[in-house]
Amino acid sequence: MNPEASDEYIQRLYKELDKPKPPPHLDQRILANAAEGSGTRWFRGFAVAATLVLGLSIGFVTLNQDTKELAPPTQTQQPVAEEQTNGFSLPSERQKRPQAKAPETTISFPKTPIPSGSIGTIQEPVSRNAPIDVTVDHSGADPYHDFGPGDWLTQIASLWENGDFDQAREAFVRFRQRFPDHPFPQNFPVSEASLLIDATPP
Amino acid sequence: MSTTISVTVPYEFVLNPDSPMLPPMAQADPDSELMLQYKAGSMAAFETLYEKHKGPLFRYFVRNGQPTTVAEELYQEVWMKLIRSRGRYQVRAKFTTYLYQLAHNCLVDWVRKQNRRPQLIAGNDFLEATDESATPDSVLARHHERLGLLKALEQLPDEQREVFVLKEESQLNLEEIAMVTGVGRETVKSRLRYANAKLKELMAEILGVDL
Repeated sequence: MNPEASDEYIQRLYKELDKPKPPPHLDQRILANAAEGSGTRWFRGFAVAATLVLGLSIGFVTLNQDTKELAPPTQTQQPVAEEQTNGFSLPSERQKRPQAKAPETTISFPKTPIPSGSIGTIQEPVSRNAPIDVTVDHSGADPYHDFGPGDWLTQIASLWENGDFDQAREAFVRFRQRFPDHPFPQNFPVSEASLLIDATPP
Repeated sequence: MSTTISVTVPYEFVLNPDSPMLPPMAQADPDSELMLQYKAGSMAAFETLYEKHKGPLFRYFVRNGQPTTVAEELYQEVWMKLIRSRGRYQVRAKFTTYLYQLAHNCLVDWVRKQNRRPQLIAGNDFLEATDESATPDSVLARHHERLGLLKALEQLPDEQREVFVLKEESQLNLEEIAMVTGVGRETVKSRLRYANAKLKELMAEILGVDL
């Protein structure tokens, strides 16, 4: 056999040898180590962490919202208004949540007569269940709107002393409507009865 | 008269030679590009590299006379070194050269520590009838020849055996084998020539024939 042929013979024989391979468990271990260091693994970890944080945040916000809605109302309030001011909530969560019952209290308005010319006068309710009257009159301005009882009585006394009896009486009627229980001053230039004589409510 | 030959190259291996993204060596070596992709975080690139090189690399240790358990340990060590050092990887040579440099260093360290002769026969080669037309006598004769080759490899000097195995398993050329083993090209050429001559001589003795 010439040298070249014998070299080829050895190479061919070498290629016919069995070809051992690493065992599968070794492959898995090496690939796992390679994956641990690769960016893919890092990205996966980051994605899982971000999802957890987001999920917990949504859960916390939803729980907080539930607590607010189920708490007893401290003031007379309407559930619709609260729903509007509570901000964001998932529709699905809103469906699952027990609906806060609307309070039985209804707000109504009395038919108390209000002097003409008053604008935006709000009569304070006696109690929560008492009716509130809100009447808006655009016919004219109320000159005593900002008056306290003392100032108002001083003004009435001044009108009476100046001879403006009708205006004084009219003002006193209004005064009594707003402050029905206010004590009448003893040193007033005119008696209460005189002020109410011929007093025609406006 | 001129003949034009058209060759279709798979897309994966078409590398743009003008690409500024790749170092010059990586532009010519798909494996280096895969390693750079792994360095950038692509696990798929590593899997491709691993599938391509796992068999030859494992046989490099087995054929250099290491028992299976040792070969597995060294094989794993090479890949772990490659994985750990991926951040510092730079393309200075073919990826195969880099991989077998790691393997060579691991093997040399191991042999120095153990100071033992290689065992090539155990666990290698059993009777395999690959040719259905072959007679039992010819199958047995071929088996003896393979055993003879393994015995001859076992008796080769370490340096000659490593050069021979590297050439057969890694498909590296003389220059690249020289880079792996840390010697000159002429030394590699000489070792390879001596290895072939020695193998023929040993096999002639073992088989009782003249090669």
